Amino acid sequence: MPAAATWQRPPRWWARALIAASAAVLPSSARPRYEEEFIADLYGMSGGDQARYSLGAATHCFALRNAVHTDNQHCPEGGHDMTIRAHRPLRCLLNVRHDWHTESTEDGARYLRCRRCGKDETGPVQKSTNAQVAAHAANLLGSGGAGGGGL
Amino acid sequence: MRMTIPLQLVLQVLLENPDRELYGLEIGSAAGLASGTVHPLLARMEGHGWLESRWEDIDPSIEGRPARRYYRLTAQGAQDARAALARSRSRRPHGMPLPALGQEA
Repeated sequence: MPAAATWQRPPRWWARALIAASAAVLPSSARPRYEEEFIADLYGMSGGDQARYSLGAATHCFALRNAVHTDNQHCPEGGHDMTIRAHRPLRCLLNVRHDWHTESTEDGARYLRCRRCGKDETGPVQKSTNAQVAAHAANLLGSGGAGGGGL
Repeated sequence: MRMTIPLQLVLQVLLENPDRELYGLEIGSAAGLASGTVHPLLARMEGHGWLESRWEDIDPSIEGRPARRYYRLTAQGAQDARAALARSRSRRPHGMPLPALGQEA
């Protein structure tokens, strides 16, 4: 039975705070993972190295968010890379106009998704019938607001 | 995936021994990249299926630190990465070399 080791130099409070702030911009599903990963890397580092590491993580947190976000946006259809662009067009950002089209999940459920920004019309992928999707699309197009004519 | 210089450096490090698992900080030091640069690349590669990652299986009270996240190229990832690196080398003007590993890119 190995003897309990002494703990390596733990991260300073400000390094932890910087890492927590960097992780806060990540999607909630990825936040704990990256926070724990960064904190684990900080163990045993000198104060200067901790500062460099945590500042590096803070300055690139939006790049990491884009990478994580983009990775969650892979489309299962077609077997080819349909990665949604990380930089969303202004009209998508403002939620003024999306380019909706119908997609299906691996188990056959249909949903609407913007070709440009990857937004799902009903939030996370939801199961709905073809008729529901068609009715929803007609509703969107009829209202003239969010419909982008992608259907 | 766009084959940027940092991505090529990270791939070089991972391809040196594709079966070896490395953690983010280790990959960054070997490639000469800052931690902030490395993790978005790793996330992107993981999303593309080139990398797989897992938490280190240790007892933190024995090691004196929390578990690290280890990364390793998948079989398909190693194959795709080699092909992508070869393509980007052929596009580099006059066979211009990448910065040496461990130096700032």
